[in-house]
Amino acid sequence: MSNTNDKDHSLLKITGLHVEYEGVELLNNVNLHIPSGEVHVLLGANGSGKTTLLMTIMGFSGYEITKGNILYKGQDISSWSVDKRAREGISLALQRPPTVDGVSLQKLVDRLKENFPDTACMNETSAKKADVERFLNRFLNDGLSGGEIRRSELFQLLCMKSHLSLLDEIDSGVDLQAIKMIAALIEDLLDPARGDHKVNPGALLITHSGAIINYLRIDMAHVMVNGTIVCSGESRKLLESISLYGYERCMDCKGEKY
Amino acid sequence: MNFNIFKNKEMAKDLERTGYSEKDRSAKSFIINSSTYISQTSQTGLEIMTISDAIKNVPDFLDRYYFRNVRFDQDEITSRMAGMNNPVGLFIHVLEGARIVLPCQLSVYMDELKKDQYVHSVIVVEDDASVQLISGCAGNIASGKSAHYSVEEIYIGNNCQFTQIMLHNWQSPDIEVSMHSATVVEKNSTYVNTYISLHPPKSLNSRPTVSLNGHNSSAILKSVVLCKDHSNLDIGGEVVLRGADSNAQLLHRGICAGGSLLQGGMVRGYNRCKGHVDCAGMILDTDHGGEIESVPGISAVNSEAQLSHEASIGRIAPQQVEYLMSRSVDEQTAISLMIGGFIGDDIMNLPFSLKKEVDSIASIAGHQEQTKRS
Repeated sequence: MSNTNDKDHSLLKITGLHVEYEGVELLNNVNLHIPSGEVHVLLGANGSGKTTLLMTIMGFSGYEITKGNILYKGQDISSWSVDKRAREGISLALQRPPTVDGVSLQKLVDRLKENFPDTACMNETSAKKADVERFLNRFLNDGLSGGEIRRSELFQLLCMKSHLSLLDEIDSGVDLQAIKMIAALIEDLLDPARGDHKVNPGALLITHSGAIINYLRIDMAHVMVNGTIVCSGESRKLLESISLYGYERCMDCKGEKY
Repeated sequence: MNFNIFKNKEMAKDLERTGYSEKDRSAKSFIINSSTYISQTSQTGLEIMTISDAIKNVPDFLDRYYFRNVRFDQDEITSRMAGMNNPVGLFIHVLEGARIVLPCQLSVYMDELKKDQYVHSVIVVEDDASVQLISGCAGNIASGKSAHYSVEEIYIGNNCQFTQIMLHNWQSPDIEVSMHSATVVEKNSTYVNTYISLHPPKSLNSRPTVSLNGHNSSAILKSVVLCKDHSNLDIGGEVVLRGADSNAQLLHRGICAGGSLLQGGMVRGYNRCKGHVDCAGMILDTDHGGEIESVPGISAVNSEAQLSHEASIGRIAPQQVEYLMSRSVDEQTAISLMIGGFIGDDIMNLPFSLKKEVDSIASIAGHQEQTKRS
């Protein structure tokens, strides 16, 4: 079978994306392509626009696309509501999710069972693996530690379709042992059995320390500076270069591949 | 039923939404405008008759029960009702030791133009008895002002359990509702009153009073109210703790989608006792504005009275709604889930069929807020 039909094998394709938040341009001319089944990492200093990119892909309010487009599985998603994106398989693990008064994790999972019958049978196993059973009956994110939030978010993603998982600072505030557990949960998210006839699940993750890179197969890394992706390449090499010369070096090598 | 009291399908529907059920009731009674219908099963230990029959036939009824708990000169309405020749209402008598398993039901309905409804009920639960009463009021009047006035006097003996669920479903914009309810509770007995109002009248005044006279007696008064545009609701309650080790809780949950809602509550400790008043309100972001005022109160004259109160007014936070949406939940369902959590389905402890009513408060309110947001 030929692999030339891009539409059938692209998970995410972002072209010339400009985004404003409260009238301030936060992203300018972002280009990014994640083929089916691939895991990409987004590196960059605080405030460089990484989270903005994830929030825009998820469709959160306030992030206004002024130019360019986002294609998910070949479809322009700019008119899709947040919940439609989630139902279609885009999901986002937030770094600091809000506490939701009155709604327990269990109550949400009951809803997810209805919305995603295909993953429902795995929910109990995932809950054990993510070690979330202790706070299933607590209000969502109420009083959770950094590590608990990561596990809770990944568990929720496992209960959904999640063909494109957007993971914001998934290894921040987590001890070394817990990182292994988080990596194992991400592996579960990426299991090809969760995909469909068009795509295998993939992910775009933000990391500061790069700790997670040691436990996952990463296909490509991108460096973001001042709202745009300045270079892309192999994740370890990029991280090494950043630790030696800082993010600014990437500005200098604009376009050059490592 | 061996008599057909339903005039039309709407009426049956309106009453179903106030807890009316063909099945699973120990007894059924209806007050339609000023007519009373009683359909009693062969339940032993439960006697139901009209208040007029009780006045005529039950010895000492006037001396012991009729306007003994609610004062006849309390206000203009009680005076008017005390002066009536043919009062409308029921006398529900639960005999000593009777444990009535299935709920007893009273459905009140009004649909006559420009005619006020007066209902006076007396409920006596004798020692060692237990019963649940589901009372629902519904009104459907096309136009014109009318009023529903009620007096309810409840006498609960020793070692009793009396649970009352009251549902209001007013489909008319112009009805004024005023309720006078007074209850006395003797030793080791529990009185639980849950008031649910989905479709509020134009004005509502409900300030039930409970006197916990007996040692170890307790009362829980809960309300879940949806306040809408043009409604003026005053939901209160006062519990006087006279018995040693008596215990009272007042829990109000109000959702305001317009109009004005006053949540009150007073607990008075006259003995070694515990009491708590909790008023929580949520104002939805709709086009109708809306106002909530919460005034929980406590007072004590005994050093061993432990009383507390709390009140809060909040809103639906858009970030929380969006977070749930990023979990595939549509906006209206997300808002409904949050309102359901706010009402606190755990504290309601309702029979299944009535849970549906509370759920529908959440979805009606959720829809109103969502309409505004979109």
